[in-house]
Amino acid sequence: MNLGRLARVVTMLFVASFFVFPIIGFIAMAFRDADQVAAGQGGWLGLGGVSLDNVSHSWSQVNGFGPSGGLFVQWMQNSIIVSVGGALLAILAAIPAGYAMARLRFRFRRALLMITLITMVMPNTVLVIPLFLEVNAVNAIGELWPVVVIMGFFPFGVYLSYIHFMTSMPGELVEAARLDGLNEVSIFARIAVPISKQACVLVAFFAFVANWTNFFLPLALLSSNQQNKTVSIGLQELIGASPLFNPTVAAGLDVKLYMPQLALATVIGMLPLLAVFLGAQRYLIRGETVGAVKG
Amino acid sequence: MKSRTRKLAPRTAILAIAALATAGLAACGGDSDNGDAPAQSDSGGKITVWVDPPRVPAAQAFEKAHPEIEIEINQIDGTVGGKTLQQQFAQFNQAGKGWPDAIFFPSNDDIAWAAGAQINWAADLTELLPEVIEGYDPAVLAPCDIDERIRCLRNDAAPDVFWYNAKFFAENNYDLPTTWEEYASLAVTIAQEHPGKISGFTGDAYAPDRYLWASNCPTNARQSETEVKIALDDPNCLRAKDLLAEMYDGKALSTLGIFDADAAEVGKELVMSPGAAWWGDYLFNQTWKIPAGEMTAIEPLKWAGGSAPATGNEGGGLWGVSNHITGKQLENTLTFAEFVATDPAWQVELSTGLPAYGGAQDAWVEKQSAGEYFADNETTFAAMKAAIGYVQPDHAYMLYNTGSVWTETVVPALVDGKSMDDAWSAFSTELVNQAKAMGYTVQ
Repeated sequence: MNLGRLARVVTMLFVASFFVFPIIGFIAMAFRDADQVAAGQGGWLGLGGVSLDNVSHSWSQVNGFGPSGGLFVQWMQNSIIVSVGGALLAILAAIPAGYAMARLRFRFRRALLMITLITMVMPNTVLVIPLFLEVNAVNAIGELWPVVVIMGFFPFGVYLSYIHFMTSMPGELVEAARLDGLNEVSIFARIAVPISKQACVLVAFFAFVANWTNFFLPLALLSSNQQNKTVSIGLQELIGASPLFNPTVAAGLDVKLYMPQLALATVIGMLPLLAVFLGAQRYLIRGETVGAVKG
Repeated sequence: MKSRTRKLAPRTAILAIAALATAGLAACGGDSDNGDAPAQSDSGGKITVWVDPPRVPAAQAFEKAHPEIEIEINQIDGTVGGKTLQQQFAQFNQAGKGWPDAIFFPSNDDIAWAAGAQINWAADLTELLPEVIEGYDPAVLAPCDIDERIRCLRNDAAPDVFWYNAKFFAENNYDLPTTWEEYASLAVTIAQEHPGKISGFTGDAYAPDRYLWASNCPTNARQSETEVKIALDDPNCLRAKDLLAEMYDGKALSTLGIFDADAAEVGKELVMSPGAAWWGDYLFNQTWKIPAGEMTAIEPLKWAGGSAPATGNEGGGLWGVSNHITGKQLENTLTFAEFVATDPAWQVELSTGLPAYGGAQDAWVEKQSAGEYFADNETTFAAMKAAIGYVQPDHAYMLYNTGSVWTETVVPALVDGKSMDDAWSAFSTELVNQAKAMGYTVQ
């Protein structure tokens, strides 16, 4: 190994350590005991104090949170429902929309594309009050389905799909299909859809991540129904009920949520994201490089 | 073709923006967010209550005691100082519905916006619950007394008493102070004779309540909805500052906050301090694990020349009732409010704080005394009850949080080793700034 290569590797390891060590310490925290943490015991990154008994105790505290316990599991279920539902809707809407903007010619196509791009960069918070009023108008505040529907509106997915069809499906292919007598719906169904697996996975992945981590929308629409809250806003409630952040509030609670319990809840809250990432990893790395003309 | 595309681009952009703006405006059309007399509705009986996690048992106790009333309990984020609740109520005002019928406010400051002209959610309970209101010591209900109307009910009283370690005092033959000035002098003496022993904490958001509120220093002197008097150069403020400076210079104060992780160790060295009634069980017993038979409390101290003890208050939650309801829904909500404020099933059996409602206090004291934790249980609980009447007036909960300003200014200054004068100056400037930022005219 020459000196330049060695320097590059050392630099990369050094930079990586900045990110890896906090993550290791954070995950280890979920396996530690609150008293040990308070006493500063547990050795390097707390790894000396990890045990499954600690996790078991922490889980009993996290799972005991709520009027009759089990609220955290309910939040996780709700997050899975809205995230998966929103991602499926996003695929259903984004793939045809992206295809249409990439390969069809119609009036206001560019205006639609422009709107998509503008909506994509619009901050979430701008839309919270209008969305709240819309959902309120149909008496659905506190229900999950409006959140799923709104999460299905995923302009970044449309953009991804648009880019996919622009780069992977040449115009000539569409023209050839038309010459062969296929109508537009058939072209989409028989040619575009079969080659859009990459795009579907990408849209699903990014939509799922965006939905899972979405804070403002569930906060605005679901806060008035404790059974329908998601884990993103639920974690804030756990923090709000921790003696570390709200001592006087926590004094009246049966469960005690210290660092290990909060870390455990957060780690569990990350697991679905990790699972989706591992599942989609192959497609994320290959990206948009595979297309119709490459087979 | 290329030039045509360029030519069209601005037009399409304008079209796109116009479409979005139209959609946005259409969606924003709702009731105005103003302070007009709200429209009232009646569900026919069902009520919805919002409570923070520790108050869920209160709502459940009501559900058990009143099975005839249909109730929906929603557990809300209990973060003290959070802003999301206010934003939610602003949204409900826009929508014209969605408010809870009753709520336990996570922060006492919340009553400022809930009773303010803009959100205007909290009902005037003066005529709705006159008998309940009569059962409170007016000093306890003062935070709810806004422009001479009672806009909330106090859940628990949290007056400061004077805590001391009876074992330490007996072993070292110290006499208890009777005035705040004697407290400061004795604190310095003890710090000199017993290095490491402390007589107060300054690092938490309740510190200004313990010392400034107790001195009747105008930090939160509400004059009207939009006016507040803040005068940290007032003699009442300066005597509190001098007291803190004397103890700080004499190494008798800890710059930690009572809730800090390290306070558990330092707290064991606490020999005396003003502190809330709830310090006894929550801090000394449960958190710092000071052995039973050591800590005990007496009535608050007087200021030199003062005729009566003077003290502040640390917390003590508030219940509110919606002014958007009427008929059976209002009737049931008032039943709920009366229950959680006064009923022993919650206030005595389940609540850890000293009940604010006078009629529930004796039963609570009797139950708590059974623990026999304090060195002198009888004096301690008598002091708690008496202290309620010594909480200084002219201190309202505002849209700004004095405790937060304190922890953002005084605490870092003292930790950096700056003088109390420097810390005080930073606190004063920031307090006025934050009050102005919240729209107050500062006198």
